[in-house]
Amino acid sequence: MQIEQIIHTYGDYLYRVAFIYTKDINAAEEVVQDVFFNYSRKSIQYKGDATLKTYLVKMTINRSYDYLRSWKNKRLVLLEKIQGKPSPTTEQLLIQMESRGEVTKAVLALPIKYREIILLYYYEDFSIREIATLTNTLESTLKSRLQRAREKLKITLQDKEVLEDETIQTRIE
Amino acid sequence: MKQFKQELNSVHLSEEQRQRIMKKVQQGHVTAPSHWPYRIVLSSFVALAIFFILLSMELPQLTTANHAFSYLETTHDKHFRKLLLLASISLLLVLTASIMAIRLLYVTERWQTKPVVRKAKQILRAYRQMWAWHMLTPIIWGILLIIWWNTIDRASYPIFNTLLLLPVYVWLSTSYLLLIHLRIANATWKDALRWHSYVTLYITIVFLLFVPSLFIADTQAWFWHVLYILTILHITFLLFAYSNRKTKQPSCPHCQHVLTAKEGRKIYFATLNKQCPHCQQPVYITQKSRQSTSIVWLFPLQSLFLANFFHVSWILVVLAFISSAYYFYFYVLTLQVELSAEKEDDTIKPLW
Repeated sequence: MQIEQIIHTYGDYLYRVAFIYTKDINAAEEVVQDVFFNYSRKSIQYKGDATLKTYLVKMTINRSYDYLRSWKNKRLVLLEKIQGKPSPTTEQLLIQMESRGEVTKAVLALPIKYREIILLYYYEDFSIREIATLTNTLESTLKSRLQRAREKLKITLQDKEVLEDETIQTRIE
Repeated sequence: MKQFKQELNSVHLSEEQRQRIMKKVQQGHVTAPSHWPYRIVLSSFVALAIFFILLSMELPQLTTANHAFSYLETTHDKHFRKLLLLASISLLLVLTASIMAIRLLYVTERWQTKPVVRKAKQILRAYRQMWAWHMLTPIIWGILLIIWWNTIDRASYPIFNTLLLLPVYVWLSTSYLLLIHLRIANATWKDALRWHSYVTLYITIVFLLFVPSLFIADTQAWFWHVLYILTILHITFLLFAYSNRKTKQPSCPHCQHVLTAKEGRKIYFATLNKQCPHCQQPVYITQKSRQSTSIVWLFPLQSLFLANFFHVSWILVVLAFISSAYYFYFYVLTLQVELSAEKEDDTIKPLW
């Protein structure tokens, strides 16, 4: 398959994966770009053991972790903490998130390990075993993570519903 | 969770982003993954280490020969210890500079196709034993002279200073020569020859500066001078290596003509009508490169800043400042220049 075709087929999908990891659209684009670039250079290394989609997802996950570990990201996080104000990218992100929906917002608020399992399990429809292979983690660990992530999401979403109801009620009054 | 799927499906690459990715993948330009900034950490560590070593020592004063002579005789042991420490630091700096210079030769990708670099690597490979011995020479020389120190007549002391410092002079010059030689690897032979003449001039000045050590007996003070130059060379080297880790020679956005250092300088310093010397189209310096070059403008100030920590003569400080300013402003600066075909918005963007 030509690289143009691969970008066309999997570009959006990998972009979503990278976005959930990095929580930043610019960083997600950078990650996807790096993934395709690396694939175009090292496509010989792909032996066909897994599907191309899984292979690219694995690359995206690794590259996203690289980004999260990078000084660039740490500096941004630190600045946000010190200044107490969102950086431009986060601000843009928030504006975009308004139109994106409550569940995604709640998922993005979770720590990375919970975000990861929710994404891989619910969005990408991987089984726990597949995720264990993909992330090199024990199945039991993943199961407990999934459970905790669900609980956290439930609390967040319930709170929001309560808040929304209250605001509607006050408006009516 | 169906809602989550639906929401997430609304996130997609725009056509512009897709085109951008496609273009960058085809061109082969992609943001390099950031590495652990060992260069910054290492240089900060070296600078701090030197600072604390200096702080823990009494700074020597430059004295006349007779005064120093009597002073040295009375406090010989203390003086000798300090001298040994300074000599060790000098040798360490010289060795690390050489290792870093050689490493740079192998690591910098854009130099790998240059015939001069290939030749240099061939020489390094072919004569690696010779290079190893060459690096060990100052250490052996220093040990021999320290042994000799206790056996010689004190009357021969001033000449002894020069002999002790001789390997350091030589190493200082060869390190600088190597640095310059690497930089001009992408220049023509004519430029190279011209640069060799500058280097010769520089070495001559350095040697002339150290000639007084034949007549002044305070070895420590002269070690401070050598240490000062070595430290500046090290920091220069680190800054050079750091600022050039990703950059390429600037090229014209219209005709892709790769600018030489001279052409880059002309464009950078031109106040009006910046244009490509090849296609005569107007070009503009990007906001990003303007920011990075503004930092380079501060680099030569290191020589003035460091002068506070070393008791060195002001002539040396001025010479170090001029040479490092010349080097950074005329060579490193132009490498940082990035040109675009369209003028960018000059207004300063808000931080948030």
